[in-house]
Amino acid sequence: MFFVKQLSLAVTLPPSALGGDMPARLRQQLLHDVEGTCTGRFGYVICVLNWSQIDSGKGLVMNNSGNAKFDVRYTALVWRPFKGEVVDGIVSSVNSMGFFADVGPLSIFISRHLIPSDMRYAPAHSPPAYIGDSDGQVVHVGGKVRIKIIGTRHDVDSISAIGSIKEDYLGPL
Amino acid sequence: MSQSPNHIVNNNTNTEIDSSSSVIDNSSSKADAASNNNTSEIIDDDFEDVTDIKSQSDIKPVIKSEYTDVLDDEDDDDEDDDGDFTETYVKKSDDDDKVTIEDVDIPLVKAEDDTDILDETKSIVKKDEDEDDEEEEEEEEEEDDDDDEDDEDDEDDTVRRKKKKTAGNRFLDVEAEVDDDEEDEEDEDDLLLRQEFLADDQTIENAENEASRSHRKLDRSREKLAEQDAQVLADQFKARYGRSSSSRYMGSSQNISQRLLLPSIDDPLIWGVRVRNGKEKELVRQIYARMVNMKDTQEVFSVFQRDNFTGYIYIEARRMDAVNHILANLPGIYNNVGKVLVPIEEYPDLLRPGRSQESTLKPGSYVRIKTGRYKGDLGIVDNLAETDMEVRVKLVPRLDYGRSSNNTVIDPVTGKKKSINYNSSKIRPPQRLFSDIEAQQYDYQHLTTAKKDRNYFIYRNEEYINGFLYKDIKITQLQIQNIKPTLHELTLFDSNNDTDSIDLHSIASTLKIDDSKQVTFQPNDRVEIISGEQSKMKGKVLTIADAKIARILLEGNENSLKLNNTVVEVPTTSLRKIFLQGDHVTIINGVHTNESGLIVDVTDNQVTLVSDQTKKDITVFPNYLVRSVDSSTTASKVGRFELHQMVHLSSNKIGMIIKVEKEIFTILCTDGRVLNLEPKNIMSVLSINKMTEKTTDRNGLEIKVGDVVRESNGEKRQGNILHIYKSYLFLHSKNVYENTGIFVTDSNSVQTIANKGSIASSFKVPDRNPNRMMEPPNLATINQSRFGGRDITISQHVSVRKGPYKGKKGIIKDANGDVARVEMHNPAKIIPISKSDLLFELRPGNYVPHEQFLENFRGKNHHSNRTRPFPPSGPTGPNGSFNNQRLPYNNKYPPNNGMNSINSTGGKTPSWSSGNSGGKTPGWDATGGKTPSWSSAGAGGKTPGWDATGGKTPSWSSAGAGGKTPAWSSAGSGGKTPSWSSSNTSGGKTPSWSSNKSNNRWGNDGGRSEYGNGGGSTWGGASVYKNSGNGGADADADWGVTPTVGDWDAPTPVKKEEDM
Repeated sequence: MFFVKQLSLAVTLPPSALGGDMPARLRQQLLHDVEGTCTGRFGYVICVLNWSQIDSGKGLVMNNSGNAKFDVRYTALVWRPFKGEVVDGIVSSVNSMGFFADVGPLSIFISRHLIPSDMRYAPAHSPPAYIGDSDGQVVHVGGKVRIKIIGTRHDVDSISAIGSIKEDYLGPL
Repeated sequence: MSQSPNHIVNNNTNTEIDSSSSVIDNSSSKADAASNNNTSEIIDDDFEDVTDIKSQSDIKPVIKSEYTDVLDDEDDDDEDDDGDFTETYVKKSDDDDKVTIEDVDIPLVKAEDDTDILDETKSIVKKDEDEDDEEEEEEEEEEDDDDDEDDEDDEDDTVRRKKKKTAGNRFLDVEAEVDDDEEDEEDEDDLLLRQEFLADDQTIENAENEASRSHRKLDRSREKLAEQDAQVLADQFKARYGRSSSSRYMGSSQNISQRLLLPSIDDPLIWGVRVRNGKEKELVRQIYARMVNMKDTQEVFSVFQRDNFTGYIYIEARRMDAVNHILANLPGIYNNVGKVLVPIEEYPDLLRPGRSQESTLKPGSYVRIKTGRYKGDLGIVDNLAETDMEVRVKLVPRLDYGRSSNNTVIDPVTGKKKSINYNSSKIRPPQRLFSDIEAQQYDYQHLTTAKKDRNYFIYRNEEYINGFLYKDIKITQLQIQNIKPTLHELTLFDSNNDTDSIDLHSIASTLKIDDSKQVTFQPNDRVEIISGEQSKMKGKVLTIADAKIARILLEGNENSLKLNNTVVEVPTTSLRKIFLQGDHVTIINGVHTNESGLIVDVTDNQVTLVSDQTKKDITVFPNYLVRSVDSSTTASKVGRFELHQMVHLSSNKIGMIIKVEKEIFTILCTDGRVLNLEPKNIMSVLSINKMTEKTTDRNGLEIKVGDVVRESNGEKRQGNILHIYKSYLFLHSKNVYENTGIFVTDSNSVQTIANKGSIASSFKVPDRNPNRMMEPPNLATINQSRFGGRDITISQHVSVRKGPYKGKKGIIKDANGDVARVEMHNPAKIIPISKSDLLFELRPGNYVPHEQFLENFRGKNHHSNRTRPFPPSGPTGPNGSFNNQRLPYNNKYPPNNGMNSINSTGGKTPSWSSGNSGGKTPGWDATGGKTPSWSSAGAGGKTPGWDATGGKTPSWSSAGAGGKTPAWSSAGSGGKTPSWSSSNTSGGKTPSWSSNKSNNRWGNDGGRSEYGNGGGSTWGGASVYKNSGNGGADADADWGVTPTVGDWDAPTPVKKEEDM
C-alpha cells in the first residue's frame, strides 16, 4: 500500500559544500540517500515528494569535523506490502518449488502450496512454467500475475514476502 | 428370567472395548453402592428424584452430568489417534433373546445413552467450585418438589421404591424426555416394567424373588404390546424418545463437583493381578469369556488392562474370592505373586486415559529387530501382513555368502565338532547391501535369480531386492517404539537411493513420544486442545506452570461462544499450537532446528513453511515451531560459524558456508564443489578485511563486496558479490536455485553491472568540494585498456629476434608480463624470453613485433569500444615538419588505434593522477622501453615521417636525443626535451610539454586526451597541444574547459614567456 509519509533524515555536508548551492547539494544528498531504499518499518521509499520544498532547517556545524548537520524533513511516497494485500507483479523466475514475482522493488515468493492444485509445474515447457490443467492458464517468466500477499517478513533493511494465487480472481492476468 | 437385574442393566449400556463403557459400568457399580448404603446423599437423591416421571425433565441434566462428569476423568478423545487401548469387558447378558421387551426397549435406550454421553462429554467445562454449590442448592429445591409428587403416586414401600427407581433412572434417562401429556394409563405399566427390569442393585436373593414377579409382568406386558398396532407402537416410541435431541442437556447443571463423583469405599474393589508380560490383552479376553460363560462370576464386574502398566490386569470385584474364582486355572497368571488391591484414591489415575505407548506400524516406520542375526539392526517396515502378526521389514543384509556357514570348529575340550552358529548375533558379518556377484562367486548353489531385471534375488530362501533384504518378521520380535535411527543407519538405507531426502516423517513419528517433552509453550501462544474434554477448543496460553500445565483462555470458538473467555487448565501434552499461513516462525526442534521461514500451508498436524535460508519447503509439527519476531534476522549462526562466512577447510582450501543446519554445514569451495561438513571438519574462520575484499573485473574495474556483476560467458549468471577471495567471487543470485543461490566464479570472467548503492557512487558527497576535485579517470577509456582473460600472446607462433636464440621459432606456452615462455621448436625446451625480443606470426610468414601484434589485436577488439572522440586530428599546428611527419604515421595507424595503444599502457599507470613527468610513468617507460618496436613500427610501417625527422635511425631513442636515452624520460628530466626539439623543428613548442607534465590537473583532465595523443603512437595529440600552446586563442579555448587555466599557467614559465 502506498503512503505519503513525513520522514526526516540527518544529512551532513562538508564545509566545502556550504556555499550558495548548499540547498541543492542538500537535496541531491537527500535524494541519493533515501530514494530507492527500504526500511523494514516503512517499506520502500519510492520517491521524495515536492523535493523542491524540502525543509532542511538550520544546519549545525559539528564540533569535531566541521561538517554541517541538517535535520532534513521531507515527504516521501512509501510503499509497504501488507499481509492480505492484493498486488500485481511480473514473474521473475519459476521453479519446481514455486515462483517469484516482482512487485516493484519487492520480490514475492509463491510456493507451490499456494498455487492452485490444478496448476502443475511443467519443466518441459520453455521457459518452465506452471500450467493450469483445465483453463490453460500459464505462469511463466515475464508473465503478469495477480497475487495476494499472505505473509511478510521485515528485516531492518529488507522485506520479503510470500504470496498466494490460490483464490478467486488471482493468478495469471 | 433367572438372571439378575444387574446383568440386564449392564447389558443396556455397555459395549465392548470402549473405554467409556467401562466407566459406565464403574459408575453403575458405584451407584450401586451408593444406593445400598445411602451414604452419598446427592447421588442418592438424584436417583430418588429421577424416579418421578413428571419431574424428569428437570432432573435429567443432573443425571446426565453425573454420567458425563464421571466420564470426564476417563474420557478419551475418540478422534485422537492415540486413543486409549484399554480393553474392558463387562458383563453382558447371555440371554438377549429371552425377552422381547428387552429387545425392543433396551437397544434404543442404549443408543441414546451412548450418544448423549459422547456428545456431552465434549462440551462439559469445568467451573469453579462455588458455582457448583449453587447448583446443588437448586437441585435440592427441585428434589423437594419431586418428593411431594412422589408421595402421591406410589404404592410400594419407600426403600424398595427408591432402589428400583434409582436403578431405572440411572440408565434410562430417556425417561426424562417423556412428556407430561403423554402419560396415560400405559405409563404406569411401563414404569413398573422398567422398575422391575432395571433394578440392578438387588442382591441375588432379591433378584430371585423378583424373578417370578417380573416374569408375570413380562407376560402381561407382552400381551399388551401384542395388542397394539405396530404403527402405534412406533409412534409412541418416537414421541417418547424422538425429541430427546432438542430438549437434551440444558447446560445448566454441568458443574457437579467431580469430587463427589470419585469412587468411594463403597465401590467395588479393583485388584491388580500380575500376569505374563504381553499376555494382558489375551487374558482379559479369556476372563471376559469366563465372565460370560462361567457360573458364579456375577461378583466380578469388569476386567481390564492398561497399556501403561504392563504385566498387570485389573479385575473389579467386591471380594477377593470372586477374583480367585474367575482366575482359577488360567495360564499366564502369576498366582504366587499376591494380587494387589488398588487404593481407592488411585482409581482415577488408573483409569485416566494416558497417551498410548502403542505407535501403529505403518509402511515406512522404523523398527528394530529384537532377536536373531539382525538383532539391534534398524529396519524399515515395507508392508504389513493381513494377520497383523507379521511385518515385512526391509533390512540391510549381513551376509558372508556361505564363507562361514560350513565352518566347523572342533571343540578342544570335548573333541566334538561344533558348527558356528550362523545366526548368532555375536559373530556376524557387517551390514552390507546384497551383492549377487559375490553370491554367485561364493555360494551360487543357494542363489536363485528371480527377476534379475528388477534386481530381485532369492538367496538362501530370503528375498533380496535392490540389495536389501526383505524379511517377514513377527511383530513380537520387533521393537517398534522409540526407535532412534542413527544417521549412519539411515545412510545405509539411503545408499541405494538417489534422493537424499530422509523420510523425516517416519523418524518423527517414532520419536514422537520422546520429543513431546521438549515442546515449549509460551504465554500468548495460540493453541488448540487436542484431547480431553475440551478437545477442539482454541485459546490463548496465559501461563505455564512447570511446563506441564497451561492455563488457557478460551477464545475464538465459534461453535461454543459461551465458553469463550473462560479459563481452563490443560496439560501441555494435549495442546497443539495454532499457526496461520504467512506467519513467520522459527523451528525449535528436530533436524531443522533454527531454521526460520514463512508458513505456506497448514494442515491438521503439519505445518509447511518456506525456509528463509534455502527457499525450500519444510514440513514440521506445529509444536516444533515458535513464532519469531517479525523483524528478526535469520538465525543462522551455529557455534563458531555462521551463514555466508568464509572458512578454511585446510591450509590451502577455503570455502563459503552456504547452508547451516543443526550439525552440518554445506560449504561451497572455490572450485565450485559443494561439501557437507560437520563443524569439526572446518578448520577456522577465514578472517577477511572488508577493505581488502576488492578485485577487478575483466575490464579492470574495481569490484567489491555488494556489487552486482554478471558472468561474461557461460550461463551469464548475475549476482551480488558476497565475498571475494583472491580472484574468486562468491555471488548470490536470486535466479539460481542450487546451493541456495550462491555460486563461485572467477573475477576475470565477470563484468560489473552495478556498483553498490546502485546510484553511482559519484553521488556521494566527497570530502572536498567536488568542483575542486579531479575528475576520476574515465572508466570507459580504462575499460578499453585492460585486456581480460589470458594473455593474448599465449600459443602464438613466434620467432626470436634477438639474443642467443635469434632466428629460432617456437610457440608461447605461458606469459607473465613482459616475459613469455617460449617452447622452441628445435631445441625442444621452454625458454623465457622477453616479449619485445619476439616476432609474432600474424599470418604464416608474416612476423610482426610485439607492439604491433598488440595493436593488431586491439584494433580488432576495441575498435568499437572507443568512447572518447579522437581529438581533432587536423594538422593545424604551425609545425609543418611535424605534421609532415605525423601524417604518414597517422595514415599508417588510424588515430583510434594509436590512442588505444597508449591508453593500454597509460591506463594502468598512475600517470593520470600524478601527471608527472612522462619519464616516471611506467606507461611511458613502457613505450620508451619498447622503442625498438617503435622504430620497427616506423620502419616496418614505412613511416616516412619518422625517417624524415630522425634521419635514418629507426628508433625513437636515436631520433630523440641522438644518444641512447629513452626519448621520453629524457624529455621529462631534461626539461628542454632534447628529443622533442631534435625531432621537432620548432623547439619553442616543447616547453608546453614539460609544463604539462608537471601539472597535476592537466594530467587528469587534458592529459587523458592530449597526453594520450601526444605521448601515444599518434603525434596528432602532441601537435594539437602544441597548437594550443602556440596560438593563444586556441589554447584558451581548449583549456577553458578546465577551470585550471591559472594553474596551468603558473608552472609553465616557458609558456608564459611565449604568451608575453
